[in-house]
Amino acid sequence: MPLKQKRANRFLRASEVGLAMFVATTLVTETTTPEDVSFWVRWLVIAGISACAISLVVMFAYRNTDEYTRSLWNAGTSVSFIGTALLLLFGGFLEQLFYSMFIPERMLDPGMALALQYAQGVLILLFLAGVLGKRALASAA
Amino acid sequence: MKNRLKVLRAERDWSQAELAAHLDVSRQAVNAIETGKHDPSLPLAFRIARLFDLGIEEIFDDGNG
Repeated sequence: MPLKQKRANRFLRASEVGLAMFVATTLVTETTTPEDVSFWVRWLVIAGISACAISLVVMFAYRNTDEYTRSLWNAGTSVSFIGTALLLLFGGFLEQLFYSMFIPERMLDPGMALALQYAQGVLILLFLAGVLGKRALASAA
Repeated sequence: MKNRLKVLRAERDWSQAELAAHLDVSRQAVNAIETGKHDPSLPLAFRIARLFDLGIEEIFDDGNG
């Protein structure tokens, strides 16, 4: 198998593994409290986060393998950038608007806004979703 | 963009991997071009045209021709 093909395969597998690990670890961390989690599950979460991080490094390393991987990388970064920018610009405002309309007794400390808490996760999720979305759905027409 | 890449490849009995090797791209890139999910860059379009000894417009159709 040509080297270029191996590199492209690594890029694409890394994007799949990264998204799977990110979703899995997010589900575990968001649905459990640290006290509920056993020792082994905690280490699996750490392994999952590490696998996601390594996937991103692999994707970065092989993003210029050919023009197709480059276009997938660009799609991911574009989606991630615009999504995170919108979240940071408007997320706090919309969240406060929602609470003021429906749960007025809940006054948020701006530092505790969900948009700020989850921005880093949204950034990574949107990047991986952008890469895989472009790969699966994009029509060049 | 519509193209005849799959037909031209089949005429030569090449697999996507073989065509990718000729063009120095990944097999996934060839698949994406054939299915219209990715438009090749100009240099790649020229390489494709030279490989099949055809003009670019004989292989690719942007729908305005």
